Amino acid sequence: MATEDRTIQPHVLPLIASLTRSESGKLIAVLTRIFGPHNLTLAEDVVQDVLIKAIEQWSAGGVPDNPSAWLFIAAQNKAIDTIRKYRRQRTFAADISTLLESEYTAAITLNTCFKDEEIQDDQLRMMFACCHPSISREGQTALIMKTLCGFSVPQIAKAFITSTDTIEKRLYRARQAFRENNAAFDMPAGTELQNRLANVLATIYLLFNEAYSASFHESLVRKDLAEDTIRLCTLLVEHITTKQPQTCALLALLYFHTSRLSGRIDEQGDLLLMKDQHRDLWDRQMIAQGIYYLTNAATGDSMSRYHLEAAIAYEHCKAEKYKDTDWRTILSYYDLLVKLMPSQIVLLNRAIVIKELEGPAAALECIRQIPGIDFLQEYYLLHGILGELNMEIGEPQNARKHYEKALKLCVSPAEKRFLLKKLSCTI
Amino acid sequence: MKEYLLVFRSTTGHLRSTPEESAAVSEQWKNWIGSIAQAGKFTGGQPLMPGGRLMSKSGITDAPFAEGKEVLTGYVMVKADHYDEAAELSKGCPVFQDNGSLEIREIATMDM
Repeated sequence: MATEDRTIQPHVLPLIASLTRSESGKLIAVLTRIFGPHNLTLAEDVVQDVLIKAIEQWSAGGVPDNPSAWLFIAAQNKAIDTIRKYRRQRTFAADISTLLESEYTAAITLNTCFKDEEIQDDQLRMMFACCHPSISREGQTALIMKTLCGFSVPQIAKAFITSTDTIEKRLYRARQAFRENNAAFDMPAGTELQNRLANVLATIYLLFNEAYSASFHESLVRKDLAEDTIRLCTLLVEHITTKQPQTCALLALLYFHTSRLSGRIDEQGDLLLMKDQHRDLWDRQMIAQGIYYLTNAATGDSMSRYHLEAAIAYEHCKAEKYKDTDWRTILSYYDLLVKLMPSQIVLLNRAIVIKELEGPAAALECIRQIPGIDFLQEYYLLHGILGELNMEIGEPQNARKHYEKALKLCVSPAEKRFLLKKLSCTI
Repeated sequence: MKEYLLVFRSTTGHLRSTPEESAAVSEQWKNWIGSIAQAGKFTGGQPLMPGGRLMSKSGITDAPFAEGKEVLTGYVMVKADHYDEAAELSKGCPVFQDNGSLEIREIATMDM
């Protein structure tokens, strides 16, 4: 039945939107634990129903004192109704299905599942389930954004600058793999844990890079998503089995990068290079958090890419002015990073450090020597950097060629404006 | 492995007057059934509402049945190899706290 528009109080909607972001991930996680991973869609539907019911009831009877608690109670009630409705047709989470099907034990079993510490763990389990290796990387990120972060499909599509259709298809495939491959909604153990954790960290890192990268749409989603990755990584750091040096290192890295997020754009919404950013806009509290977790990461004898990248990010945060940056130390981290993962992107970033230390000609030479640099021909940042370096050595013709190529490859409006500005300087 | 029906009868039934009492009783049932489920031997069961109708060829009458008499309060089904095992599983049943009784019956398999 369609709800009549006039019964919806407009002030309720922003509240629901913000609760969707903050609470629906927890609700979907706990309901997926209860119904079982094979019923992921049912869990999502129940949360959707609860939110719609909240809009209707809060519009009619006012917003409750504790809206979040209201949602959890409503979800628990809706869960038991759903179990009663489907107990002859469906099975629920394997370990508690028979308990949920019996009235002797259903309510009390649900109560136990809805305890705070359980919900905390369920979010972790959900993270591992969303990052199952059978799900494609882009499927993993879309599924995490949808289920754990409470973003809508249009928001995700806008964020990745693609169509809602594309995101729907990605989610469809991801949900299918999620249902088929997560027989147990459980934290892996032993060596399995190590492999799977590496995968979860990589996905969080990718999610953050999407949020942080300038090709991501300049919308509120960016900052929200960056903060979500911190929230998810914090859950991992707070759990005994997943609190490992590389987890702490990744969290430190996320804090350092996020601390600089608001300094990256000027009053016109245009991108600023690090050397032009107002460092007093950087979030000192976040930097302090980063230092805390970086210190925590310095245990054990494993040195992950996150350690090195966090250390590099820290060097940037530490410098009070651009000219104070300790490029020698940064280069030493890059040299270690190259040993760990000699990718073209890492080598390209290293070349930028070389520019600071030895000048643009040396940096260009460095780039020329990167093995397999042709793989990056379609990477707009390569051309952005080559444009910049060519300008600096007094080759505006070459610079122009690269800026034009970069402009063709890049999708974000802010970045396009940035490149156009650069391009106009080549004449 | 066979399946057994455990039928509970008691005079007071499973429903309690105060929420605290009923929460405590729920906890007991959850613990007992939970331990059977943990062993993978719980296959189902439901509590019954008090009251009811008794029907026979001669007509239908309202429950409650005679005052102070044991009434059916619920049932549980378990998997077990024999009566001894089913009885062993039944030991912690909360129905005994009401001085109730528990009847164990093997579920029949009917030939075609």
